[in-house]
Amino acid sequence: MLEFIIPLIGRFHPLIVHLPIGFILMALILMYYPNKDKIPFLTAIEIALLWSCITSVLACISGLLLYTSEGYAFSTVQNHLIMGLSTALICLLLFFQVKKYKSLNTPKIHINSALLLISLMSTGHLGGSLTHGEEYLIEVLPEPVQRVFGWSGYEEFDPIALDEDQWEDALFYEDVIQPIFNQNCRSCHNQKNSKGSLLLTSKETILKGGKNGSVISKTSWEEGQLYHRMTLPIDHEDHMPPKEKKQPLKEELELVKFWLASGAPFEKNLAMAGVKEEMVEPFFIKSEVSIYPKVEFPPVEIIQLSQIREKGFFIEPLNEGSSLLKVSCVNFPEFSEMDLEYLQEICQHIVFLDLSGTKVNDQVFELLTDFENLSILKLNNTQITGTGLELLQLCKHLNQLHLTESEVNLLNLKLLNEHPKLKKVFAYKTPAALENGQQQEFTFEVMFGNFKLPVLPTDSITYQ
Amino acid sequence: MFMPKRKITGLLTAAMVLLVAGILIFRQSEQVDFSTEVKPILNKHCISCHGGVKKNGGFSVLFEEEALALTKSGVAAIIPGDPKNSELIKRLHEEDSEMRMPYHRASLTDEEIKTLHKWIKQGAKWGKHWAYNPVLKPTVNWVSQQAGFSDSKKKYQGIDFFIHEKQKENKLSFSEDEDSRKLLRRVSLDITGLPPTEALQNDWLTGKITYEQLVDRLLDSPSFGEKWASWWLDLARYADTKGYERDVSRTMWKYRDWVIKAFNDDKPFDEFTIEQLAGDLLPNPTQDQMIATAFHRNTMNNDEGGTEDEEFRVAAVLDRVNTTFEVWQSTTMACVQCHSHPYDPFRHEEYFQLSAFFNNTRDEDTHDEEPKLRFYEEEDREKIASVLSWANSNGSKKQAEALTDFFNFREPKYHAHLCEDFVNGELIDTKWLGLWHDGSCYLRNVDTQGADQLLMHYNSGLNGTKLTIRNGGPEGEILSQFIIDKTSNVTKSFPFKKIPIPVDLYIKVENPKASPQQSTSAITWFAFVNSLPGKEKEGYKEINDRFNSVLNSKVPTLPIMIENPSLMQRKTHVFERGNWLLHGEEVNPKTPEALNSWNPDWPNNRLGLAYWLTDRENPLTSRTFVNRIWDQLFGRGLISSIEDMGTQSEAPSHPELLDFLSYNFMNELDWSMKKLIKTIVLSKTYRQKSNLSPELYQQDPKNKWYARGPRIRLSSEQIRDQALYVSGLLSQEMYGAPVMPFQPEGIWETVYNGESWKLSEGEDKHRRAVYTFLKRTSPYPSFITFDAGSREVCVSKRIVTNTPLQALVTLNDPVFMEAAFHLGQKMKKHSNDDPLKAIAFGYELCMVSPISPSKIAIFHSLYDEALSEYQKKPELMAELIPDDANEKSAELAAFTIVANALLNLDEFLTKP
Amino acid sequence: MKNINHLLAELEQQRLEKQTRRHFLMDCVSKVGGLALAPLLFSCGLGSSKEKVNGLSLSERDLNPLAPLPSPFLPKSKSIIYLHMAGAPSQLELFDYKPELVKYNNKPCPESLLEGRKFAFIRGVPNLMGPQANFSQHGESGAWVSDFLPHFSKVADEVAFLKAVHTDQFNHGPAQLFMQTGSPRLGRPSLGSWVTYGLGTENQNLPGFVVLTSGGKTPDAGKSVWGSGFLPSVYQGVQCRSKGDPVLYLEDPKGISRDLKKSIISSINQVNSEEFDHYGDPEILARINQYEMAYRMQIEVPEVMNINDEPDYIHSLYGTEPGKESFANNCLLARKLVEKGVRFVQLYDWGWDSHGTDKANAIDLGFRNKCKEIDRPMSALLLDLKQRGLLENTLVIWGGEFGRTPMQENREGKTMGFKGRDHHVDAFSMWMAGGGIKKGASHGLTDDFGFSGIEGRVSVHDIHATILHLMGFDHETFTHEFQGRPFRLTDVEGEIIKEILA
Repeated sequence: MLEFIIPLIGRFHPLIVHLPIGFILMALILMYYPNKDKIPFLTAIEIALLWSCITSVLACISGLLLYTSEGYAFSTVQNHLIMGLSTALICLLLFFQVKKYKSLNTPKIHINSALLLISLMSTGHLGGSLTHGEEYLIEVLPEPVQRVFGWSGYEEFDPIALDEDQWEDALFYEDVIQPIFNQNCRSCHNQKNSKGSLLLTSKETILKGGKNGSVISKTSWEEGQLYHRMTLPIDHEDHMPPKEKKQPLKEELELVKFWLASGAPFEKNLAMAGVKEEMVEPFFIKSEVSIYPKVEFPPVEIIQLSQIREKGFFIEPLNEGSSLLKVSCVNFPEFSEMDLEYLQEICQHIVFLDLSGTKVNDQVFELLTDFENLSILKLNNTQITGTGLELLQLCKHLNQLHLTESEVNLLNLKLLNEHPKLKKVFAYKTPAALENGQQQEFTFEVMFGNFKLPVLPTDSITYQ
Repeated sequence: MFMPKRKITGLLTAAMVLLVAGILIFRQSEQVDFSTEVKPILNKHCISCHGGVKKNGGFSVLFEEEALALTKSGVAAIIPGDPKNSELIKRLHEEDSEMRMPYHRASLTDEEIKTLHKWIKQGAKWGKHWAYNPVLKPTVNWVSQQAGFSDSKKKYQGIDFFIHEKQKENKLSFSEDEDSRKLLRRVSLDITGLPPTEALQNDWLTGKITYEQLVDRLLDSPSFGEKWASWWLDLARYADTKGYERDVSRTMWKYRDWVIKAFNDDKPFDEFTIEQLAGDLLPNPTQDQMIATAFHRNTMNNDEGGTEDEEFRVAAVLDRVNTTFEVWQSTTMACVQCHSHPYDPFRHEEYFQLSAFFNNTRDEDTHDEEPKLRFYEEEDREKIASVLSWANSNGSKKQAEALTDFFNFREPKYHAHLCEDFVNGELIDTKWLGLWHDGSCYLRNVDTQGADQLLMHYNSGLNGTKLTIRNGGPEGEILSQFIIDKTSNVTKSFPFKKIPIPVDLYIKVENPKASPQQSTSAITWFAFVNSLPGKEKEGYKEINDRFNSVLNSKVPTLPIMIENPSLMQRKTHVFERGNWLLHGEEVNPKTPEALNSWNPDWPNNRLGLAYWLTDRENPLTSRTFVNRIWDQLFGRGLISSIEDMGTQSEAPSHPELLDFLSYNFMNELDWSMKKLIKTIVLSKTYRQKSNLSPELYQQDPKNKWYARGPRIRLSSEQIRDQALYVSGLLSQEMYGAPVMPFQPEGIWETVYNGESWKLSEGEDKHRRAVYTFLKRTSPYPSFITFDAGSREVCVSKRIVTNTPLQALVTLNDPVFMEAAFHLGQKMKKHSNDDPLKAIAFGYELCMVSPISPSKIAIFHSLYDEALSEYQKKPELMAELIPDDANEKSAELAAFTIVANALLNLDEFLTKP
Repeated sequence: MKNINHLLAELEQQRLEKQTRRHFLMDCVSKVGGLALAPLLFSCGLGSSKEKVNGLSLSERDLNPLAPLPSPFLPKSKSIIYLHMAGAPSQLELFDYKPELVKYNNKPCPESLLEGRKFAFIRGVPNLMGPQANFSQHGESGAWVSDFLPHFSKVADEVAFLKAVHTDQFNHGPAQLFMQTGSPRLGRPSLGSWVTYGLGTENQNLPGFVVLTSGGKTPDAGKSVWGSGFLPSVYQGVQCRSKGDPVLYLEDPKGISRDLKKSIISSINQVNSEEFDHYGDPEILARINQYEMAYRMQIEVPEVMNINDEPDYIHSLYGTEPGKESFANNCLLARKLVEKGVRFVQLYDWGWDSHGTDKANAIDLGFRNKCKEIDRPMSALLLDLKQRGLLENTLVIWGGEFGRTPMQENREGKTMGFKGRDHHVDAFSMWMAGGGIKKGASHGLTDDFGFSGIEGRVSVHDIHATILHLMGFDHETFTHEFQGRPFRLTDVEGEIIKEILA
């Protein structure tokens, strides 16, 4: 039933430790207070030391309890523990010495107090790193300073990223090879953790090589350890990176190979090194331009959504966690533009709106002007003729407009010209499509469709 | 203040002593439990990379010895008693993301690390998952539980005791008892799958019989077996077709009938198990025991052209292992096929040691599905008797026995697909031996056991084919030579030269009349059976004719399990990565280490395996069975994952109850299924009201704590049977060949398969659902819609769904319309011109309970609307009422409409 | 600090949900009382979130297992049309042009190719057989398409070809299962089931996963190729037939008018809602909901499934003939269904097993006729989807369960009466088109015989991974717990085929 006592006392350790620190410092200050005659302090010093001892012993006990009950690994706490105990002992010793000599300027005492100070400091520091983590102090130092001490913990390195248009100018080593190393090798070959005393972090270190000398063979590039080990069969002992680690992409391997083959140039850019586009193509920055605006809102409250749903709308987020919404009336055929008011409150969120097959008419455009993030609008087989289409110019993000089998005509369609974002309009089977005899000028792509497949002689043959 | 020296020294030394003492004392703390505390952590974080599938760094935490063994790095990752130096712990503390475990994933919580640390410190003792420990005698007294259903006193016993304990923990309590009519319908549907009979209703409602007597009456009714058979046949993957591409019919129904009978006779579950797994291996087995073995012949059989029979024979064997373990042990063996089990303590090789139990049966995925048990008519039986007695008197007893077997299941024999090295010949559609003119092939390593007679099953479209069988090759001595003529399938006997040792047969045919590449005949199998003795004696010819006529008499058959004779023994190998073509080391039959031990007195074959499964020490068999029955009655198992009772399965909601029932099922109840069901349905837990308040729903949506009675949608079979029953259409007929009730056109479109759905005659249209023909690639549509399976693989639990297609079935399926019409007729009969009476009558017929005023109002208005419609539009009325009906009236039509609505009510489709 | 606020927010959210749930239960029931068969109930949803799929709290899924859910990632496509040529068409006569093979026509196949290989029917050493079709390049992409597909060659620029697909099953049944469920053995959910399980379906009056078959037969592997395996059966494919009821039991029984049916259902639901007041079991609400959906399906399904009223230009585009079961009709239906918001439309066309045992399955005769049957319709489908703007977010997939051998079949060592090819697993062609697919791309390369892929080999799992990716899933995290472990469509394999992504 007393089990809880132990951990409880243990957890007081962080508190208790501050008492000995206080007392000890107090004692030392008194002992070395710049004053000719210290004798008057003596009693005070003894008391201070006495309490230093008592409290530090308490600190030790509580510390031990903490260690046993919190399941720390011994390896992690051992130094702190040893220093702690020794602090207590030294303190005890010093106390007796002071009592014995009744004076303060015997060398023994000086040495001891020096020791005491040091052990106190280090114990404190070790304790600190235990609770706050090794990096506690370092973290706040500026990056370069950290590097100097090879301290910097795990850094995030960006993978190769090349611009599709000027990839040729990118530097082979700096923009391609080093990133590959960073991605696949650095975690074990950096200042902090240099397996085989090999560092793959900079030109110098790479050239320097590891404990078995250079990793890049001057004579024949294939013999270089770097290439050799990376290309060994995965199950092979010496294969790098080790089997269980993340393996480089085959494209990356190819590039390293090519780099070494072309004499491991550190200054050349890709063009000079003769790298082909297809080799680096996978690393081009895919400029993933979503047709939806990059805006985020606080998500619409679930109740509000369900209330709107009850009207018959189909609503769902673009994808999990997105605050942007997709709204459709696929289950709401009797929808008419008046019902848009239910959507007013969330119109900001709506980027996809499908009113196909509903009873909407041209007034709808008026009401849609507040839907400023609307990107895709579907009005397929509706009655709209397009009068007032120009109002959609106000939907700055509108990207696709679907008018298939609607009544829209060419004139109205042209009202959309000069729209900032509009890319595609679908107008298959509309008056517009029919009128489109003389090719019209549009600032966006219009799909009039009406594709046909010719009748071919083969169509009617049966082979036998 | 100032302390005297002594005091201080005393104090300080005391403190120091305390300190040292502290180190010594508080080292050890309370024990960590492996299976409940440690194993979950390992499964969650480590086992995906250090388990049965992957063993990264040569380290695995699946088995004790693996975990403690030296890893790639040369040191053990776990050093019992020394967590500080155990790599496992170190790696958890690591900071370098490349070193820290779990690799590139979120680190463990301090709690978890602490647990592992403690566990290792305490010696890293391995433990067993509860499910693999034998079922222990429960502390709660069984006998007192018998009287447990007197709920007046709040002292609960038996089942209710355990349920109540958990309810208290969850701040819940029992609901009041269910209304007697609803309870009647519930228990009746659960036990017989049908609403209660009128007689039973009267006796119960008039209080003539107690609830216990009611339950006994239900359990005694033959419907019991029919209801529960559907459940077992799901596990047995019973179907009336072979499955796979061509999916042609097979006759398995005698097995289905066996199950129904077994349930009705309350055959103890251990016998039930033994006979199905190894009936053929029992000392001189009865015909019924042979039939039972068809359980494992329900595996699919592939007739697709171009498939290799051996591949699918192996597939069937593996399916038998997987099914046996899912059905009796709630253990998923499928994954052990390719590697050790990812979570449970089963080794890769153990899987194949198990498959060795099943790998020596005669069936070889042949088209004819041999071996098959033959059911002779009286006439044939007489012939057989005379032949046998002749053999007995003129020959040896041994020969007579061999003959008996051959009459019963035609074994041993060599199938044509064993032929190889064809010259001018082929395996027709990879099934039958077809040699062209001047064609030859080899049938290797044949042991004729010195028989002087060859039996051959074949058909031929040509006359005068000369077939020669030589020993070893083209030049070998002639063992048999004869002429084959045009014939449909026959089994013919030919003299054969006696040879004592196994030989390779070289088979050669000549028939110049055959056109090029035309098969002279299609041979199915060869067998070597000594000819009848006493040739010189008179009457021999007649006896021999009888022998041959019996061989060719067309009789009903049933695929069964027959063990290989010694001369045909197969070796079993581990399949590397589960690939049947990559043979690893050879293995022998053996059961998994993790489970109960093997009794050396048991034969080392399927029979032994069956004994092992039904041994009281087996931890899983009874637990599995109890869990399944509980699931059938409550719609949720005590372990909700019915198909899996391993380290990954959900923890049992009531572990003590599970063991309590499991132990008593084996001991007090002597494996009696009926007694077990009775025990459960007698409990208060089962007899509660099933009403549900929003609060209760929030607290316990899945009814995990049984603070209310079970309310579940009925199974597809129950829904059909119930509708036919209340409308008076349901046939009482039991057993026999599967029937084909109405099914829409164009459902069967299987490739290379001429069969079609032929509507059954007369009352067969209205047999209970369990007798409906089940085609695997195209099961009965309305059953599928109500979540029945296609019986291709073993199914432990049907997931109940709720879809518009189900509504369409009960609303529009002609079967249900027919039922509605007949129910309408009944209602009209009882109405004597008062629709309200009729409606009340119809409702009570369906729901057993009387109708409420508001409901009667709703139906009345429906009736009026329908009535006026049909009065206005007689042509509609004429369409609605079947032509053969002797009465056609708007009233009848209107009642039919009301009946149609009744059959669609949620309360009708759901057990109250 | 931050995540504390987060927690608070969540708690509040849950509280609100509880409230609404209560309010909404009552609300729905009251509505059912007066039952205007309007789309109310299924819309009484509470938003949908994955954890709710497990039904722990009363979510839209509890009432309607097909209620839509947002995909984890921004999807490229919102629906799929999968054209499966059951029986496996020959890549060597359609897309995989092998001029070298011509030279080796009728020459014995090199032993090296046959070593350690098993074939369904080929025995001994067969002869190689050159392409039986003439190839030419088409469109800007210069895609090779044979003259067996004259119409399709015109739209070749719309699609991305996979030329080096491989599987490991050389019998139809298992191979079709593998292609459709990710496992050659039975018991796994089909691709369509996974997708409908994960996304539900938008149009509540139509099934979410529709299956259309042509060629007179269902696929060799039977209905399990659209089965739901261990997922609830509500996610299995619904077979819509072009003869008889489009959906089984859809048609009202003779003698029951629509109005009467409406009153029947409303009486049923009134009684059921009373039942709900009594039992409070949400399953009853779900059933009420299902009956309304059933009623609406009865109206909407026949509408969609009826192609009689389609204008002539559509009929002439697809080559459709109303009233008969044909691939052409199914293609048109597929477009209409997708237009109506159906999630997954699966077409099976049977009769591609060209062994050369008779005219009907000879590469140069029966097979060519099959090509004609699909050529116009599938090209029309692409064009029609395109001109209606549907191709933007519809994924179209075409392929068989495996390929055919470069060798001429010599069944069981016989020389065959007609030109045929045996089953071949090592290399075959498929194509994809539509939302998220790179137009005119071609990935993968086979050796000179078209026997094995030598570049860009992709497995069945890779194809599944890619399809799921386009639908907004990560195939590695999209799992379902069963038998105590999380199951995936792609098992433990599968890599997204980036090369064909836009």
